[in-house]
Amino acid sequence: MMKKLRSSKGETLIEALVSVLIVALSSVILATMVAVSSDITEKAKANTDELYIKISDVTRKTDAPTEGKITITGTGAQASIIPEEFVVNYYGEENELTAYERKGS
Amino acid sequence: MSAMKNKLKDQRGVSVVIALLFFLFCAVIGSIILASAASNAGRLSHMEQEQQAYLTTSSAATMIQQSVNGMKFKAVAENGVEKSMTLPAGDWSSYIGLLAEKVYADDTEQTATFEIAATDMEVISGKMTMDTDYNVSVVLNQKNNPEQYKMTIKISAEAKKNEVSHRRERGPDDAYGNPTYREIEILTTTAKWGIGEVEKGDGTL
Repeated sequence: MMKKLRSSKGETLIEALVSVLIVALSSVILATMVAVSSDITEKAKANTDELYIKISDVTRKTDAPTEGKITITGTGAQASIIPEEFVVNYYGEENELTAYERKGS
Repeated sequence: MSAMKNKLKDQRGVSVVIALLFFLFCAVIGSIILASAASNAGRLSHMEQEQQAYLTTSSAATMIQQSVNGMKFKAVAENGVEKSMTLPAGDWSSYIGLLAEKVYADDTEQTATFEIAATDMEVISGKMTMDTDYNVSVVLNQKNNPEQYKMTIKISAEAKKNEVSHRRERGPDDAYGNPTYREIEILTTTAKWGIGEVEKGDGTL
């Protein structure tokens, strides 16, 4: 027991410092990864909320519609049918989610 | 052998090993958290495109459903000879009318294919089928992605095929100046389409 206590075997100061450095670095990396993940999740949540608002606006037709046309073209054996244009109401912003419905429905 | 045992029991330098294990643990946990967050964000980025694809197909489906609702077809034949035909009117009437005319003439199922192009939207391909009872089924899908967002509109028809009635028509007078009459058989076929139902998929289960 006394021999053990008097033993000078152990770790050098360099080893101890390197260990502390590695632990500190690991903690910083983990904390950064968690923070970045949290940020990504927050942004994704915000985007999802925004998308649901857009979907709601388009499906509930809350905004004033824009009059437009759709074209029906026959294909295959019906290719000879002259393409027809029907007037429709478009809902939603340009380059955003858009839906349409038959005008007057 | 004893040298190996000593090596295994040797505790010098163990703090570095423990620190490296901690580093590994942090790296693994951090990577898992980061990967799951990135995968979640990636999945959501496709949501808008998918939602637009759904809106494009469902808009086309609803438009056809509303356009066909209330359309009528009537064909009358007298003594086996076609006398008159009243085709549907309004949007989509050229397709419904074409198919109804062919079903009436051939008494076989008929199909028509078409494409719907709307401003800033994917082109929708459609296949309209009318059975011998004038029931209409329309399968819609994205032209560039046929397996995604398939929708089927099933529109039942109230059809009365070849209803028989008769009428007497005055013919030429006989040799004594008496009027003669002939019986004419009238076959009337009518079809009227209702609002129909929109289903997901191509209608086959």
